[in-house]
Amino acid sequence: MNITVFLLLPLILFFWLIGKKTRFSFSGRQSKNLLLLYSAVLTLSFITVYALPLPGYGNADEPNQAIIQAEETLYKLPQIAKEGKLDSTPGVYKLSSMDFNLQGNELTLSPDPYGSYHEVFLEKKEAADGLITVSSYTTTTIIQGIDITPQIRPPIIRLSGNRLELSSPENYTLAYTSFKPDFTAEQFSGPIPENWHITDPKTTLGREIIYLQIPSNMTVVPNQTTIFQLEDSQIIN
Amino acid sequence: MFSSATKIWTTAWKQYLYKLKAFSFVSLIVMQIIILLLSTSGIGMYGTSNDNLHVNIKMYASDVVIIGTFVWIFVIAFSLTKKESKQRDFTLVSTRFSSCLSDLGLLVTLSLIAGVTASLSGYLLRIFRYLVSGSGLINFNAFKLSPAVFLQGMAAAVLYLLLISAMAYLFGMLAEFHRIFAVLVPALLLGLFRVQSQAVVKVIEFFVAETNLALFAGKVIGVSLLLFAVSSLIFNRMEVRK
Repeated sequence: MNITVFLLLPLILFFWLIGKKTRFSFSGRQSKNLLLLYSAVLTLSFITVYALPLPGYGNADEPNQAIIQAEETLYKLPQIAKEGKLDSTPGVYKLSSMDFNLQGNELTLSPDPYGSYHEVFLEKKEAADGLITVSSYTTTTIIQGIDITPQIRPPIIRLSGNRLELSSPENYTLAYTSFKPDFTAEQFSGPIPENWHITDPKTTLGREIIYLQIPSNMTVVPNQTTIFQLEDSQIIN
Repeated sequence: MFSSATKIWTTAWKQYLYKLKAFSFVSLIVMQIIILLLSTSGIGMYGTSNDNLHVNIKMYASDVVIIGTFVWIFVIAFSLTKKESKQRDFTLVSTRFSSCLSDLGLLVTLSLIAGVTASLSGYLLRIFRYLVSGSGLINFNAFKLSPAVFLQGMAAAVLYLLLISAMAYLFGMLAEFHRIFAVLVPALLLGLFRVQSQAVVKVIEFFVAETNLALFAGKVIGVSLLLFAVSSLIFNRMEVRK
C-alpha cells in the first residue's frame, strides 16, 4: 500500500475536525442538499465514463492471454521469418522498411554505436539487382497489461558507402495513465495466491529483428553483428 | 411483552430518523473531495526500461478515498458512543437498547452512503484524468469496469465500512465503560501484532482473502452484529454501574 495512505491519515482527522465545526454552519437539510449534489456529480461522471466512445470493459484475464500469445509469437519468430510470413502473422509488426541501391557486391554491417544488440535475419533474393531492403519488425510488447507496441520506435538505419549502420533510436520515455479497479473489487476477481502482496507483473518485452534482403551475388561482412541466414539456418558473426 | 417490543422498535426508528436528519455529511464530502484532489497525481507508479525505452505508468484508483472513508466511519462510530452523544439520545423518549439500535441503523445508512460515494469517486477521477491527458497515452484496460466488478467492489466497500464502524463502536463503548480501555485496546492490538503477528494476519485474511462475495457478506454481517450486540451489552452494564 502506498505510503501516501499513512501521510493522509492525520490530514483526514484534521478535515474531520473542520467538518465537525462546519456542522454548526450547515443545517441538516443543507448538508443533505449538498450530499444530493455531490451524489449527482458522481453519478453523472459514472454515466459519462460508460457513454464515452472508448473500448469496452474487458476480461481480467485478457492481458495474460495476450502475453501468452505474444510469447508464442516471439519464440516462433525465426520460423515465421524463414517462411516469409513476417508481414502476414498476427502479433508481428513492421516498424520500418527502407530500400537502398548498392554499388559492388559486399555489404559491411556496422556495430551499434550505443552497444545495443540487433538480431539480423538475412535473406538472399534470387535477383542480382543491386537493391537491398532493410526492414525492422517487432513482436508485441506488453508492460503491466498495456500494449505499448504502437509506440515502439524503429531502429535508425543508414547506408554509408557499403556500410550499413544500425543503431537504436535515442532514449525515449512513454508516460502512461492507467486505471485499476479498487482493492475492494479486486478481492473478488479470483483466488488470491499465496504471495498475494506481490502483484502479477503482466509484462512481456517484444523481440525486435532486422530483416535484410540482399541480391543473390552479394556477401555480408557481419563485423561483430550476429546474422541468422534464413536459407541454410546458419548463424554467422 | 409484544407491546413493549413494538414500542422499542418504534422508539429506535424515531431516534434513527432524528439522528439521520441531524447528521451532517459535510465532513464526508470535504474529506472525499480533498483525497480525490490528492489522488489526481496518482496512487502508485510503475517504471521499467529496456535499452533506450523507458516506460512510466501512473496508476489511478479510488483506493485512497475508500481508505479515507474507513477512517471517517471509524471516527463517526467512535464519536457516537461519547457521553455527550448518548445524553442527546435521552432528551427523547428512549431506552439504552433503542439508542444502540438507532446507532446501528445510522451506521448502516452511513456505511451505505459513504461506500457508494467512495466507489463512485473513481469515475470522477477517470473523467478528470481523461480530460487532462486527452485520449493520448491512456491505458483503457480498466477505464470502464464491468458492472459486475464495479457492483462487487461497491458492496465490499459498504461491508468493510459496516465492519469498521462496528469495531469502532465497540472500542468507543469500552472506552466509555472505563477509560483504561482507551489505552488498553490499542496497546493489546499492537502487542498482538508484535507477538502473534501470524494470528493477526489470519484474522485479517478471514476477511480480505475471501473471494466469494456472499461468504464475505455473511462473515462481515455476522461479526458486525456480534460486535454491536457486545457493545449493547456493555452499554446496559454501564447503566447498572451508574
